[in-house]
Amino acid sequence: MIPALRIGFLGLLLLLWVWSAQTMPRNLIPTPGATVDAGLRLWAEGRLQTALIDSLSIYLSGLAAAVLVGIPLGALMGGIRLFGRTVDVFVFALAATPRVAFIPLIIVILGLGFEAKTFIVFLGAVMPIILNTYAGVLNRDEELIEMARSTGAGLPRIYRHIILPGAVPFLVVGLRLGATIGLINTVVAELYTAVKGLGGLLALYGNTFRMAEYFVIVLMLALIGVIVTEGLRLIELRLSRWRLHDRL
Amino acid sequence: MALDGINLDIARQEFVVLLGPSGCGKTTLLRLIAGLIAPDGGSVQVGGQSPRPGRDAAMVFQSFRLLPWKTAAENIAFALPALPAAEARARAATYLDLVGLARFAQRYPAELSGGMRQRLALARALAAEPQILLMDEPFASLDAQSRELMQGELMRLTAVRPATVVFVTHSVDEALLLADRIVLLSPRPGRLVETLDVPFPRPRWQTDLRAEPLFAELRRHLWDRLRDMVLTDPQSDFYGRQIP
Repeated sequence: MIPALRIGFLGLLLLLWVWSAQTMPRNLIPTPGATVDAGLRLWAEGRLQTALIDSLSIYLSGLAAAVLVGIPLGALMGGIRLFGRTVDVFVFALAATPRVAFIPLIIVILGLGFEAKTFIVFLGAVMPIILNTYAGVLNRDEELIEMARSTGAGLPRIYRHIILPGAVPFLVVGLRLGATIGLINTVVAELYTAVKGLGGLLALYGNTFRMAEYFVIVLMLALIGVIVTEGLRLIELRLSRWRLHDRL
Repeated sequence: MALDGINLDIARQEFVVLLGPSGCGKTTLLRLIAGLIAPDGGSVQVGGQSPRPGRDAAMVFQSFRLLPWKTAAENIAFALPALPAAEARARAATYLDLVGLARFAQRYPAELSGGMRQRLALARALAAEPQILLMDEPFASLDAQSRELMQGELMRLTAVRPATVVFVTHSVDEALLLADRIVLLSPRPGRLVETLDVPFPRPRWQTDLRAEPLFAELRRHLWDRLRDMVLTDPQSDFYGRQIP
């Protein structure tokens, strides 16, 4: 039912695209056919692959670093209340500051290359991961913890079997937000530092009015977003199999 | 102060029921026996030693407290942190069988009914093979039928595997049905008011005790004391009311 409706909606979007390509003046919007042609051409030239590899390596490295730092840090803030209460306002403040504001500073320190870009992605993605892990750990079920303590379970066992599994729904929200912001920051980084990757092509084709090529890049970015968030959704489903059985 | 001047000796394989109104510190007393909290004054000893969680007592809670992301078998194995994994799994299978849940070993708690969840929680506590079984209003959140069936189940299990049990309840009937000895506690602070030996012979599940004249007499007596405590407790909802 839902897949059929989704395909129907996609068809509607394509119709809208065709219609606006025909009505907008001066070829501002390319037709789907022209976009596919441009995509094939870019692929044949090898430019698309190069840009894709550039962008994905920045994106995935930044995101991986954000996961490796964000989850333990959030768990630590939730686990050690004194530490959490002390630093959480600062984390909230940093999370609310537009991260673009730090880019000049990052360029001064890390330059224009891979490190700077990865750090910009990391900085965007890590905040929601920290904050949601923190919230998930704070949301722990004290009754289950008391039960575990009564069986003689120690803190590592309680973390592994009660607090972290209980925080999974929060963690997944954090990861999804982090993945989204990370992708945005990938493009931002490529526009503000050395202009390369998909963000670089976006600027190039956008500024020179090569709209068909420009559309290829936009669609490519949307595709990456869909693949990553769907992947996370599958992980979430796998981790919360027990929830599927709520209906007896 | 939740408890004051409680002096209580519990014999091996004795079934003691703590009966009292809200605020009499029954749950605090269980936590003390479990070793989850330490007394501010006085001492608690199990088998001559201060109790240590996981070694001396196992608890059964009103709200079951099963891990929703673990299957029935995994829930039991989780409560056996001292055992190697294979042994814990074997122990889980044994006790699932004992409470009649062998077929449901791979099910998650959300797939089980209320009565089955509490049987699982009971199996989890028994699987630790504790010196004392501590039960904190274990059947209070079950419907009336499941509750009566669980009382029978508990009587059967404690007959098959004799255990020392400390059982907290608000229900006079439940206390009389299950107990060797009833300990009546008063509220704020929790004080030991009276201990009452329940003389009915065991096994008790084949006959209906409630038909016995002695049952009615003891019930009347306990209920009078309980009602007086509630009506004279300034913090109770029924303080100062005239209720027969």
